Formats: sequence, C-alpha cells, structure tokens
Amino acid sequence: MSNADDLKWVMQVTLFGNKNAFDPLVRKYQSPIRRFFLNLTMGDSSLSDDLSQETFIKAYLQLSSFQGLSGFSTWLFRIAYNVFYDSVRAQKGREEVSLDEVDRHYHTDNEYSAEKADLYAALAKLRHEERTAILLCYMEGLSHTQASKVMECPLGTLKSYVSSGKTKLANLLQ
Amino acid sequence: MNDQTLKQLLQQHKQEIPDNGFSSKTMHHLPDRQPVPGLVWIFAIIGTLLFFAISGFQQFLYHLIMLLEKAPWWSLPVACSSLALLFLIGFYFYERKTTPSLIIHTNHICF
Repeated sequence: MSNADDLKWVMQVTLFGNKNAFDPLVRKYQSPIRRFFLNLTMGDSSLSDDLSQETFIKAYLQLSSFQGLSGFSTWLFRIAYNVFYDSVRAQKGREEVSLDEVDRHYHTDNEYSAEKADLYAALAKLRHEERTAILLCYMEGLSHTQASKVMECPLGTLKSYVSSGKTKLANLLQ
Repeated sequence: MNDQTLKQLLQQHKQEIPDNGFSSKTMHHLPDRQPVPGLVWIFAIIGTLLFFAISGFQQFLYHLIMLLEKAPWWSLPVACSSLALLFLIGFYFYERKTTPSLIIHTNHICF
C-alpha cells in the first residue's frame, strides 16, 4: 500500500466519514508504531499497546489536520512521539508516590533475549531525544529530514542527537 | 561504530509485531463518527446563497439552453453516454483496486 493509498483512505475518512476506511491504515502501521513504543518503553508490551491505541485514536480524531505535505507515517510518528512524551510527563508527576509503577516497569514479563536486554539497557542510558532519534532513523528507517519533522526540531539538531547517541551506544555496547 | 554497523545492529533487533487483534480492538474504540467541521457548513451555505443571489442558477440554465440550441442534435446523447461510460470505467477500477486492499496482512507490508 503506497502513500497514494494512504491518502485515499484518509480522504475517505475525512470527506465521507467512512470509519472503516481507517482500518487498513491501522493494520498497515500497527507494527511500526507498536515497535517504536516497545523500544521506547524498554520492552513493556502492555504499555506500548496502550500508547499505540491512544496514538491511533488521536490520529483518527485529528485526521482532517493531515495535509499530506509529509508522508502519513511521518505524521503518525509525530503523534506517537507526542503521546509518549505526554505520558512520560504525566508519569513524572506521580513518580514519587507510585513505587508500584516503577517496580512493575522493571519486572515486566516480556520475553526478550539477553542481547535485547543489553540493547534496552544501552538505549535507556541515552537522553530521550537521542534515543528517539536513533530509533526513528536506524530502526524505523526514517530519513533525517523526516525524523526532524517528527521531533519538531531543526535538521542540524537532529543530526547532533543522532551523532551523540551513536557515540554513546558504541561505548555502551562494546 | 559507523552508520552501517549501528543500522545492522538495530535491524537485527527489529521485529514485525503480529496484529493479534490489536487493529480490531483499536477500531472498536474509535468514536462513531468524525464530525464535519462547522466552518465547512458555514462556507457551503454562504456559497449556495451567493450562487442564487447573483442569479447563478438562471445564468447556468441560460448558457446550457444556448449551448444545446447551437450544438448538433447528436451531441447531447453522445455527451451523456460518454459521461456514463467514463463514470462506469472509473467505478470499475476504483472497486477493483480498493476491494482486495481491504484485506491487508502485516506480513506483506514493507515499511
């Protein structure tokens, strides 16, 4: 399904109010969006699914604001990025009182290998901008320009996040 | 660590996540209807009122009748059937393209 197909489904939803036309978009992008959250949450699959669902619902509600200037995936990642950092901000507010949450975070029953645990541990040590930039560019295959649009930062800043994140990851994974 | 090495390392850990009912659950949670913005209706009403206010309808009818009077007798049936044919061809290709793509599996998606 190409970008033109994405646009066709978007138009069917926005112009004709055809809710079912959103289904192919969810099916197409559920994997990259859930993977993006899974990596940002260090493998917490239930949290990443909740955040993914919130992303798709927000995208559906804001679909008429999608102008097609950037690709649909870039626009969707932008929403996902906002959803994640909104949840981080909200969690920070109740961090002091919710020790259970922290405990749950480190004892999720996810099945991932030791190698993956190493990667998550290394990613966790990066600044959140570096982590997001690395994941968008190297895991999700977005260009630097697309990633800078997702993170709403200048291209030069994005490149510096990638560069510093890469250096840190190289040291941590050696 | 260069670009290529990092890319390879992260690509090794890249996994396709199976849907497992996620899409259906998400679709179920969507609000029933996305309302058309009020501004669209306001401009649609203003446009319609202006159309009638400046005698747009009469002008349209007048020009249509003039055109039909001047045009040869066969032009109307030819124009109507051509339009109908174009519509049918467009509809056929639209249906052919959209119906199979409704059944999408994440395995076939290149992102």
